[in-house]
Amino acid sequence: MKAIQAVTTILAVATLFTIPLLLDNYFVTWLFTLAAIYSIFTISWGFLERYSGRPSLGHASALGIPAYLAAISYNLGFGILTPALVSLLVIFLLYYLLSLKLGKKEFIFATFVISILLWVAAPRLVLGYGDTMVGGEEGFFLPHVPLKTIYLLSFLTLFITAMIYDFLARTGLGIKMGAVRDDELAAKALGVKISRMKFFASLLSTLTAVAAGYLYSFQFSHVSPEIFSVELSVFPLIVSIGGLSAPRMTFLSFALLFAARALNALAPQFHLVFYAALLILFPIFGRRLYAQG
Amino acid sequence: MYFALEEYLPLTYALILSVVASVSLSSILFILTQKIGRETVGRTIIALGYGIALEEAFRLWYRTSYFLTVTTDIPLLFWEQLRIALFVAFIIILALFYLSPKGLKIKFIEEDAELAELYGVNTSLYSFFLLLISTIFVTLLGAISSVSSAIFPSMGWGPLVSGIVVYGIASQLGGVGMRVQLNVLVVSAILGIAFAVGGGI
Repeated sequence: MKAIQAVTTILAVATLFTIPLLLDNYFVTWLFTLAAIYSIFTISWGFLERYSGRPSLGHASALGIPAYLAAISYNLGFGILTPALVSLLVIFLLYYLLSLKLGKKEFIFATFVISILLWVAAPRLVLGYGDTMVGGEEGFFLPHVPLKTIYLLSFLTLFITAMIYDFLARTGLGIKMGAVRDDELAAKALGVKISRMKFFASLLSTLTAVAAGYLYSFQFSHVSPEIFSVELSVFPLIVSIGGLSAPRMTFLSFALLFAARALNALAPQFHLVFYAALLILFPIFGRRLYAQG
Repeated sequence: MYFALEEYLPLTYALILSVVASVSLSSILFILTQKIGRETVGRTIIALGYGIALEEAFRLWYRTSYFLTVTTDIPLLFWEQLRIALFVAFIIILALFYLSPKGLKIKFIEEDAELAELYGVNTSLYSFFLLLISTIFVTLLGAISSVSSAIFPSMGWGPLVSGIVVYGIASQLGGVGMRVQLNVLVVSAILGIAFAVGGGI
């Protein structure tokens, strides 16, 4: 059974990776790359939910902070590696401390509030060079990176992330982390070090979120305040309706993004109606997921 | 809703119909939260989804790229005073509820809804009643504010998110009953001042 799941993960990512190569179409490659980045982002959210029982309702902030810091650093003439380390530290500390201090309900609200505050604050961030102003509502530009490079990097990151995410569940550490998610008090009674488990869950989630943030911003060569939007924050929550395993999260991220594109062809932003319907039905599926856990 | 009705109906009828429509919509939300959501987080997610659905429905139904305005001969100052009066009335009604014998049951529900139900409190009835009161007040506030606001289909999105943010912060401060309402007031005031100073509400 375990071997089947591992093979499924490899096959899922390999199949999705091959399609753009076979079709050799710019838009298809662009769309699959974006879907791969969304999948990494969703799995990053999954590390928090599956391994520490702290689902975030503001995970867009973990995507936006590295993207914004990279863009600001680039516009100021500095490199883009230092902001990665800074954002890694900031997001990790944020998630780790919040998961230590707050319960599940409070964590959800706290992450939501943080992402909204960043969404409101981001348009007010403006940099000036003499007469030129950059930032604000329009956001910041980044250097262009060829799509093929982003495509390869995205799928490579997705593959590594998905493998770690699923294989972790089979290790002793993963089982302890899962126990913390299911019942923190019972896990503590059995001698599991709660803070250590939350440390690893926060670290893994942050690492993948920073990678997704960089890939996302470089795919568009641009970052705007919309990266902190509620729409992005609820995306992993909606995807989790289908299950918390890596192949399911990957396939559903792709499916949801493609469905959103198709619905937008009917009317602008029509996908939000679909998202809203799924959010309303979320508690039904959420209970099923919790029962599985 | 009020604006759409006000275009075709006398002001009083428009106001009454807006309240009826809002109560109907909030009743649907109540049924959804009772049938599907069983705890605070689930209910908040349902309310968020419902808010997005309504906003998108308005946007698709009333397609426009313009901001609309309500014109009236009554001075703006009167409408501002009316908003303050509505706020004061709301606080007084809330305080009266909490001071009444029913207030204890409401606090019990706030503290632990499941336990309250076990002790025989009709939690659904109280929840619906409170939702009704807040809906009526919010509808009246929306109607009064329409005179001094630019109106567009997604204008409800800001208050929806702000509401969750303010209550999210206020709930971290703990307490039940009027204590929570006071926390909400303080957080609203602090955030309002912060955004005003920061350059944009």
